[in-house]
Amino acid sequence: MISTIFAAEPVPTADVIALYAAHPILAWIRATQIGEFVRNSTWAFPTLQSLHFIGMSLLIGIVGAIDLRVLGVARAVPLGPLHRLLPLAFIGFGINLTTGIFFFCHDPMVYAFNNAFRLKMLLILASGLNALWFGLGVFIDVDKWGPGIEASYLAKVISALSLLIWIGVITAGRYIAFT
Amino acid sequence: MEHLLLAQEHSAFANWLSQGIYPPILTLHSIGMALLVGLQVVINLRVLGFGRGLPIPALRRFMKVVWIGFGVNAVTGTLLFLIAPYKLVHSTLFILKLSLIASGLILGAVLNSSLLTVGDEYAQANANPSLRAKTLAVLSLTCWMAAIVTGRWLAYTTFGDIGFDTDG
Repeated sequence: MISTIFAAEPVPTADVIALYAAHPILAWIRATQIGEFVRNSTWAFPTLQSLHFIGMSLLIGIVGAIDLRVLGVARAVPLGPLHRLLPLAFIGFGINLTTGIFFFCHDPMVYAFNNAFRLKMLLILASGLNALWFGLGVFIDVDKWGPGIEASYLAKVISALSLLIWIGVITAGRYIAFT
Repeated sequence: MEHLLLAQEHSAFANWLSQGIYPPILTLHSIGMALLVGLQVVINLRVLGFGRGLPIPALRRFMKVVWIGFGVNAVTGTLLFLIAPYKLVHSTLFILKLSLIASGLILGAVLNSSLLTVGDEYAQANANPSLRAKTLAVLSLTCWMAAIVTGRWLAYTTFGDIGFDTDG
């Protein structure tokens, strides 16, 4: 399916046409200029993939550093200024949301009914809710956790969850191709 | 040497790696990358002036996680290499990727020994590193980003015809 990236746009088979006929919204997404661009380009897919992994290292690097500090790795790091790197993590998320939309438009049928993809989306949602919990539950204390000061038990629970969820997101993402 | 690489490429072990345990190896390679490159990104961003208020020597503790990520990727990378060693040693992209990783590691180690391990972990929260350090940080970021790009392109060239070239 996606492995046809180095070829010109493949002629869809009869079953693919039938599947898209049964799902007009997916057919519409596929027909967008974004979808057409990615399918017809020889370089778009690997380039978007590269950006997706760069965005991932920015996002998970910063979120992971915060989580590791909360859990007690690098306790000398004051949490307040580390947490203020979060806008850069959002840039990483923006890169990955954008490139992800390009992947999806390229062949919506591949993703929409793929259980690894569905799990990945659920995990990203869970990570958002977990981040909201951090924001509402412990953010107020972030500046109190200066150099060498241990974070609260609740913060550690949220950060441990965050790390597990992001590892799950990476895992589910990699399994999209094998599901 | 060449025929050894070819023999490995056509061995039952290579087949097991590519047909049997390819998805978990790739997954671990991505998680290791997130740790290694992700935390190098954080350290380099601080050197460049983002996240003022973070004492740079305090970030040295993240280096052990960087090395754990590197260890995971050295092992999983070796296994991925053993799937197609003959093809890979003849791939300019692969040699480039390895050179970029080696350069990234050297730059990371130089910054670590000249900046991160110097001084009190609790001091110099607002320090502004030298131009030399900032240059090294830019080079380091460039190496890691380029290593990611070459790695992704490898998946669509060398590994592409194995048929495991996709994800999102």
